[in-house]
Amino acid sequence: MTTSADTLVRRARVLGVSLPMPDAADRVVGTLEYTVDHSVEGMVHARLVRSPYPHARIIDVDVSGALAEDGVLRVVTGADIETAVEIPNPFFGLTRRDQAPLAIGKVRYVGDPVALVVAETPQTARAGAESVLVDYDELAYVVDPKDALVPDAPVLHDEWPGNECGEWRLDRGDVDGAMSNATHLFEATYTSPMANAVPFEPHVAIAVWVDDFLEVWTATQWPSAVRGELAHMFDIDPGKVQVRVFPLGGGYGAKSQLKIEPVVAAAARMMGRPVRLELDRDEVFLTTGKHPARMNIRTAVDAEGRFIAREIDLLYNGGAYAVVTPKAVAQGLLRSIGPYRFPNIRIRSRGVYTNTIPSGSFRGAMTNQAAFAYESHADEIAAGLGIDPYELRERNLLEDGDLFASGQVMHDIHFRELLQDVAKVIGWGKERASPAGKAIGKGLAVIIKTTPPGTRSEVRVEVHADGQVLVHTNSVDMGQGVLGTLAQLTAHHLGVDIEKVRVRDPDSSTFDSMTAGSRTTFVADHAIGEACESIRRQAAEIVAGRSYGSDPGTTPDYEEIMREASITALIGEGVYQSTPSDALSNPLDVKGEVADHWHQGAVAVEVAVDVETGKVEILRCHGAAWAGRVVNPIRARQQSEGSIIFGMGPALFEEVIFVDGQVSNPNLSDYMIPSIVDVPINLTSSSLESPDPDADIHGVGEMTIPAVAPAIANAIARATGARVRDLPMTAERVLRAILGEPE
Amino acid sequence: MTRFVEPRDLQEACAILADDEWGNKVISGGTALVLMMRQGLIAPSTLVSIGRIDDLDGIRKDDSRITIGARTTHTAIAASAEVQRWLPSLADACSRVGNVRVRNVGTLGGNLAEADYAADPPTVLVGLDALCHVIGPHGARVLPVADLATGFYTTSLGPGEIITGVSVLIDEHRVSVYEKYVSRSSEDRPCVGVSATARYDGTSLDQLNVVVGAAVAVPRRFDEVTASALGGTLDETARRDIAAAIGEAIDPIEDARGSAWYRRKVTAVLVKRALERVSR
Amino acid sequence: MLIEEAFSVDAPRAEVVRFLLDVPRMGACVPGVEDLHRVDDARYEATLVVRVGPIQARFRGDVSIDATGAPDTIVASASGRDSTTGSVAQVRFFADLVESEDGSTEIRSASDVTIRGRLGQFGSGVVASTAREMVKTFAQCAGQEIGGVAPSASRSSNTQGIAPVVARGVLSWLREIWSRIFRRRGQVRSRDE
Repeated sequence: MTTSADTLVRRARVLGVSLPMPDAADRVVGTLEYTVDHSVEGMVHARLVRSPYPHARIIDVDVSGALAEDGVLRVVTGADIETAVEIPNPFFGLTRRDQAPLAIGKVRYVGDPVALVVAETPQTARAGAESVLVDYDELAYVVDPKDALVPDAPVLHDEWPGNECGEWRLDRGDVDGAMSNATHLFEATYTSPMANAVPFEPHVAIAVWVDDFLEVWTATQWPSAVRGELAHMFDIDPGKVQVRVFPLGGGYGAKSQLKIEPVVAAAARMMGRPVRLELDRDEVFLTTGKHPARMNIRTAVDAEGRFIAREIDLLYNGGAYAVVTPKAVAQGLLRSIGPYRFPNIRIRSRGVYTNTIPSGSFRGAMTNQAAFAYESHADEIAAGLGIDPYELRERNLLEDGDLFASGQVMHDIHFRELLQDVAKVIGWGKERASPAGKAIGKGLAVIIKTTPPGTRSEVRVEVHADGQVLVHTNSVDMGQGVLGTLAQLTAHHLGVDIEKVRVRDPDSSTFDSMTAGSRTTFVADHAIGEACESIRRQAAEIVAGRSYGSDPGTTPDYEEIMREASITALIGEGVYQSTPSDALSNPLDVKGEVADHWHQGAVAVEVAVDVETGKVEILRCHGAAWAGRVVNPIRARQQSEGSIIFGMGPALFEEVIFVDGQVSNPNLSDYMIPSIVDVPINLTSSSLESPDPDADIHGVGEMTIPAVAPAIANAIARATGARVRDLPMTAERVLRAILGEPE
Repeated sequence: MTRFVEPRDLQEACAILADDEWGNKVISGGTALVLMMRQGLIAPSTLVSIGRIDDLDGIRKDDSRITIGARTTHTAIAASAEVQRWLPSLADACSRVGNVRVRNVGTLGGNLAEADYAADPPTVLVGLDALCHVIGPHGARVLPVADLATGFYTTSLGPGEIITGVSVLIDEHRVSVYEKYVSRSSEDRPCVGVSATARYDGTSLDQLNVVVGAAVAVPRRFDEVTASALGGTLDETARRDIAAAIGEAIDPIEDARGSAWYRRKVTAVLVKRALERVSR
Repeated sequence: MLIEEAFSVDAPRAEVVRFLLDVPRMGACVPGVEDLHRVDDARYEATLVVRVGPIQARFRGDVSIDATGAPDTIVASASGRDSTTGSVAQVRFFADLVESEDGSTEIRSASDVTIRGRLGQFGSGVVASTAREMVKTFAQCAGQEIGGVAPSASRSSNTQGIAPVVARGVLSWLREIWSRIFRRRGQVRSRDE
């Protein structure tokens, strides 16, 4: 297929260009409107009443005190929702419908919403919430998944005995045989606690009913899922539910699935007025978090460090409600394999209900915990055999044509290049002398993430007679600049000036499975490409006598075409629908095609450890992600480097701490996120590209984050000889490891 | 609903405070107080701002002392040429309080009155033998900063008393340093803070004190331990012994920033480093 | 959180038991106890005032003693709610009593303290330290009390001359309840968060 020079120049002008984010200035100065800034005429304000007990039966909810407060309009309880005629299906959930907008019958974690006070002002709602008296009958509770699995453990959901929340297995080759013949065997357990994504905008939603139509403004990453579940809850057609999303003040997974939308929509329905709910910071901590995980790995290797067999046992803490856990732990299983070849491998991955905060999505979901484990483990093996960690990885990394542990043939993978890139930049092999009192060392890690098959994205592109191009999508902008990226892709595919392209905020006129999993750029490229192709064809058909077809020899002048034909708009629709796979049809035997394509990343880091205090300073850090084709270089860098900064937190400082079954640090003084001062000045990244101009575009939103913690752990180990296997790697943990002093 | 009042003079402020010891609170910068209110831990009926009272901020120097007004912000203290010249360890401590947003608004008086154990300036002030100037319904008084904090968030201030300022003697021959250790992010509150203050007569040590803060409920001075080094040269052995003794002697708090075991270890390290910096 | 404190008193075990079962006398040694009064054979009500700087919590609730394990073990349980911060404090105080040959008794105590609600989120280090101080103060006072030194006037603000609780039958019923972890039968209405 030939391409005219003119078109090549046009193409080059848009793709691969570091155009600024359309709303960059507004974001920095604070004039961008987020959902939290939005108000609706006549809206009233709500505040949740939450359980102080980890597990208890609700005996009675006395709302009289709240109703006596001047300005309090109504108090909704779980019992009200259960019996409300307007709410035929109160239970929601994307994997198991086990969660109600307000707890019905019993509460399952400290923070579980029990009642909703609605008032004229936020202050009055708060005062009202203080006056609600709830009578509880406490029940025994569990916090640790291991405790939730013992035979007589308290059960959270009667329908799920044993607190089971997903179990998946994969078995390939002959693990037992290989292990028994092994000359070298390594085994260790690695743990990750819950972490919170700390988006700076809290969860917030406004719901308003007009007759049978529900309109919801909410800070969500999954508007289509919210729409679907709300429609089910009220038993109405999804076409009657409109979910509107402004750019998010951060998402990072915290705003995935459904959070407060059900209770707000229910209250609005029962009151006949628009209802707004905004969560306080401590409530954001109580709403969702990263799955705490425990991964046990056993590996048999030969004397050269080649992996012969591996056994993995993964235990994820799902918290009080399923949310996505039953399916997520399947992804956890797949992502625990890592970018390596295993002739024999057996994995069991389980999710468990406990009386803690419901776990949900988190940037780098189900990959962070696993990568921390397998990349730390790789270095432990290397150290045990006296082999260079880089060498060990080289000997085991997957290449195109190799079989993944699920049996899928690998394609378009570039782990070696990524490893090479980060190793080169960090100066692998050259160690710096350590000044007195400090130990300096380097570490690296390389990771893989699956893009689950079976997702769908719809896009509608409209070219208007005045030349303006409007793109309708349900992709959510949460600071990753996706709306800008989609504009660039549209401009590229249509061959128009980017200034003419505007991407609309999500408004339910199109469907998108989710803005998550780093899939948006990749799927949007396909969907937008299809929509624009349709428009080009329509333009060609209108103009008689011009042969256009699939050869983009010239770019049509849309304005002229529409003017001559007296039409007002050209509309094209595109869909990306990846083929669902049956690899996960039998949970106890995972095998087959498990990813549309593979996300690949690597990180190398150099640290200085103060050996007297255990404090870790990151001297320099470099991350590399496989981008395929870079749409916007500076944005790709921001994503990769932003990912690294984001990953530093759970690696070194962040941990949601439970004491007596309740969170003891639901605030930003006790829960510590990295400061900009902690970020090394020497922080760099590469976005590796293919020479093929039609190569797949890979999203880079999460590619470096999972490699950060293990790279740091490995650097600490190489510097001090001390190995930390539990996150976060606080200074105290590092010092204890150095001194051999257990906790 | 909380009332906010802005009296023009101290007597009025003290009277309002004394009127309801529990319900009426002073607000200076507000960084600590407002946080407690938002967390629902306290619900004052009246907030008594000292923002409109004259002569409560600013840094003055006379022949013998430097006086810092209670309402002076940490940023102003850290930037003051006077403080940098005569009380460099205090400038250092104030420059490292929390983060830049807190430093620009939080005040020294508020910091002392809050008596939060995880604070920086009190540790230095105790080592400098600073005096705390207080005014109350019964008049003015002066007490050593060392006697101000008596427990968690608890001071020896009586009902209606307000801190008006802090003063420190000027001493050309004194050398004082502050070591701050944060165990987590750079904007964290201190896990351990140590100040060391020394005075030499030639090469021999004339005075020495070490104060440990942030690891313990109130800043603690260890004169009984440092006394052993007087008259000597504060060599490596002396420093190590003092550090070890102090690490053993403290009764550390456990919190998200560190366990008791960890704080003992780090305290010893910090004392050693602080003593290195004041040794000759 | 668990706070362990061991202390000795210069008295035989029987006297220690008598002291611990005498709720008003024992309560007088708990710093901050106010308005301690008997409700029935098994229960007392009281208010516990705890102050940490500007923060004041008044926990109003129930106290009861389980003497079925006496003279080896006594268990005191208390639970109260503070309306200002909307917090609930639950304490179970286990005292193992070991008599020595010289006639003194060692009391090995373990206090299981759980704070729920806003105070539970407030600097767990401060809460733990405060609780530890209270247990220490109690131990000191109890040691003086039992050891024969008459209580000073300032400590007996809440004595109302009420007979100590000795109804063992009722207490064995209590034991059944306390043996199941964290179960309470709606005795105290807990304010919600």
